Amino acid sequence: MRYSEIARIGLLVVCATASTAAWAQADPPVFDDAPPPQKSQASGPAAETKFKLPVDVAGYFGVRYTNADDLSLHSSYLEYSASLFLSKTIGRWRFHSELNVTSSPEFASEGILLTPRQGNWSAKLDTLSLNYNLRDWLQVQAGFVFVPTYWREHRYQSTALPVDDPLIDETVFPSAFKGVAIHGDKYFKDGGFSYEVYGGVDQQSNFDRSKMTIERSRALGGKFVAHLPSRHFFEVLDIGFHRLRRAAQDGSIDQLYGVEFHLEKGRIGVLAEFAHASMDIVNGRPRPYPPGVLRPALIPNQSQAVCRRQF
Amino acid sequence: MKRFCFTLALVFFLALGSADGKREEKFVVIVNPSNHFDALSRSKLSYLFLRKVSRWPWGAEVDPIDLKAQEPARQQFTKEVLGTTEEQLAQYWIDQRVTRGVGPPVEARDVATAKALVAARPGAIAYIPASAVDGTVKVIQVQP
Repeated sequence: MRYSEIARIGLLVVCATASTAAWAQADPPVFDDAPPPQKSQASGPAAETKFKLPVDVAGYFGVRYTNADDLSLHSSYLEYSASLFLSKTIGRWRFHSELNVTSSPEFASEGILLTPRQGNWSAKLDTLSLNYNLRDWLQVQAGFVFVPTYWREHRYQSTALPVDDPLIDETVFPSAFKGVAIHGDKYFKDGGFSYEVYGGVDQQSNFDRSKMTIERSRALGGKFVAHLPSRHFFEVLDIGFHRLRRAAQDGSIDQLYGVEFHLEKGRIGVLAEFAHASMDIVNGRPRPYPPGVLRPALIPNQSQAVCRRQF
Repeated sequence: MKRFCFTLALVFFLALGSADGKREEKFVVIVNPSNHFDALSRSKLSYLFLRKVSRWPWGAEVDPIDLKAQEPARQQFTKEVLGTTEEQLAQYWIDQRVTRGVGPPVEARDVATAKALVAARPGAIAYIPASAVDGTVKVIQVQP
């Protein structure tokens, strides 16, 4: 499949810069070892904010025009997408959500549809999660944790159109996940590590001509990322290992492993991923299919690398 | 030609003098006087200001305070401690906002405001020009 992207326009509207300061001021931090500061103390000259929102708000609007050689009916593809991010932190609790409207029907299954689809248009809830920070290295997150649309479209442009499994994200392995995750980060003088263990339901979409069905399976997985010390030479020098096991309702099992390498130095970034997947395994063997029937997913090995240079 | 060379040299020296006049004052990192630390490494400082660490070891919430982007102390701090540029930092906070719902530190209106906030908040940490330090805040050393 060969795509040549003719133009890509992304307009990022982060209207939260002012509001972030506003809510940070509006909610004095909670201190464990001292009584909450007096309001007159906590607020200072900087707290004289004119406009205050009760939540942190951010968003973006993007337009993408793609010219694809092998699109049979139309040689071009135009997509509009907009997201609204709402977040709020109170003490150790953090709420985060993403509402997305898109004209791209193939991604509509990854969220929870808020309204019936109108043609190619869909409005959906892409993320809705609640996080409790007991310690930085011990946090619990629950809810719908889907790969954010912004992340997919802006960070993984090479994989944005053919969203195949396995797709290793830096924060979430399944592309659409509902459940609970225990995660955390620990940093030392130089370097550290991050981990995540999660269990819940993974949501996959199956296309059969014009009909789309949602297939759900039990998912258990995790990741471990080592932030290697580099004495400030690299801003990011990470090696990570991912693991996911999915059990579908019909008894078939998917086993996915992944390794990632992430490096950033100045304006140059490299993200390399390797993944192995054993899909649709029944009784230890791939499920047999009649001749002529295409297997739904058979991806023995997949590797990809994205290099980015900012100008 | 002589006149041109003279003008060129004059412009050069004037520019040099102007640059010298704008030489940036070194920043210092300040915390609330109740803070237990006397020194922090560059790495630890960057974790605090990038919100990778949210609490001090004794449990108080870390409350980083930034100066405005045009302040020389901020430009110096961003380059020397965070090891990045303003553009990359903006991208980092966009990513953090959309994936984790975490925003950048509070931006103080000016140096005096940053100092006042640090003096008032037990978990606060900021950076200001060395000449602005007074007894209301505690200066901590930045280790390599």
